[in-house]
Amino acid sequence: MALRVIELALRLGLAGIFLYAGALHAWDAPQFVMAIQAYDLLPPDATMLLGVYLPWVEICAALALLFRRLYLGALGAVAGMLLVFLGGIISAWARGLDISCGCFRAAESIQTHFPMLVARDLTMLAAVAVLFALEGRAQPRPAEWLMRPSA
Amino acid sequence: MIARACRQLCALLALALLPAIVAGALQLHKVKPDPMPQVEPAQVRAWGEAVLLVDARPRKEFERDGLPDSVLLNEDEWNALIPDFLNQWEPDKRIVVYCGGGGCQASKAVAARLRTELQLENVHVLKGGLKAWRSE
Repeated sequence: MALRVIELALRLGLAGIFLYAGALHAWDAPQFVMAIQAYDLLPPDATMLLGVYLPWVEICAALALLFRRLYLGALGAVAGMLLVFLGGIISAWARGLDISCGCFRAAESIQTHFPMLVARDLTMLAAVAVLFALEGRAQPRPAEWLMRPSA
Repeated sequence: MIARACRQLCALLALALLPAIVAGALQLHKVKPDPMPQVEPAQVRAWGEAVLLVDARPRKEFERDGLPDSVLLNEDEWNALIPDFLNQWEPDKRIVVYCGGGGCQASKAVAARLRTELQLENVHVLKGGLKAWRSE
């Protein structure tokens, strides 16, 4: 029971965060493109494609988490995005960039606090790992299948 | 489980493609290429005296570690700071706007306003900002 509550809380939490971020980014894709450009990691054309595509991956993954459809794929997508975000943030931090992270509102005026962003993304990544583990536990093992009496 | 996750991930990425294409068609024309010329600190130093350095950061940061002979002009106090900027400005001087580090948006925003609102042409953004200036 406790595991189910934890699973539900993590799933809804992640879905809510990604749905909110994705909706904001999709609503104002040009601003999001500019936020990605500020990281100075990709050529302009690639930032434009990523700025348009990524918000919809966030939204689709969030909805899949919410309704538990394509669930493992959604967990994989969220984990992949978090790893990409972490890479971008750490790279910007290492290069001493003074940029808005673009995590939610693309045109955030507050100064980016890199350690907090890294901690936040690592926390979400840990949540994804827990959900993966819980899903793995829920899968019947081959040995259990073998031991079940045939109907 | 991993194979299933990969299959579902592919399905999810494909699912996201359709709205992304529609959104891209509707929104991407609004993305304009960055027309603001950026200059390296070495180039600015080579220009010597013929440069007016503009600090686009908040006043507190300018007072803390602004470059000597630079003038404060940020978006928060735009109207109040413009007279002081105009006092320092000379038509034959290049304007170089900087903020904290590479990728910060304040210098680009101030440079864009100098171009559009004051119709100044010789406006540049310092590439890498103050950090690049100090590291060279």
